[in-house]
Amino acid sequence: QSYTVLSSRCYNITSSSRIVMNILDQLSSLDPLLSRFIEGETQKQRFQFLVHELTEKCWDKCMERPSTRLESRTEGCIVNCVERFIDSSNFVANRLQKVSTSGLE
Amino acid sequence: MESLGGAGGRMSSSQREELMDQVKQQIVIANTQELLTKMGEKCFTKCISKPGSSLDSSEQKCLAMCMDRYMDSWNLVSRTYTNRLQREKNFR
Repeated sequence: QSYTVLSSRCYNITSSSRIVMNILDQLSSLDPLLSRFIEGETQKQRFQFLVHELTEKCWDKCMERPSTRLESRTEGCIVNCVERFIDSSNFVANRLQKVSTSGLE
Repeated sequence: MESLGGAGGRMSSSQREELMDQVKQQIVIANTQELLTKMGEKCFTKCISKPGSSLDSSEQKCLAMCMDRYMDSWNLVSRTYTNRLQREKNFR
């Protein structure tokens, strides 16, 4: 199921994503020709969800006192933050896969 | 959202178009509200250290700057994430 990340059973979900998934769920029963539209919007919302989350996390990690522009140090920190978040998510997923296929229960 | 067809019934293409436009609009509104909520929380935290009996001018100035910086951050995260997705796609 490609919708698992944004399913309503996910506890730590942003309210906007919950709203959007409800709308898209209702749509799917209205007309089968809407399925491609629903898939597209779901994909887009998955992206929005990540951007909301990452902005929040990276703001906390990188932003000091807000000034008249984004300092280059802050910009660099935010870019690293996004990249390292993706790296660590991949790392966790890969290692979990290795651990589970090595017979450890 | 009013139902534009019976359960499982097919809609006309203009009804479908209108429905898709309405949905896209609702999605934009939901995401904008999300952004505003988070921005409000973060900027309150950054700017209001000692709550007084009103927002003084320095607090208001801080809030305004904070909002702009939060938008800048949001856009930067969006660009960075998009670029990363593109790089991973090219790698495969």
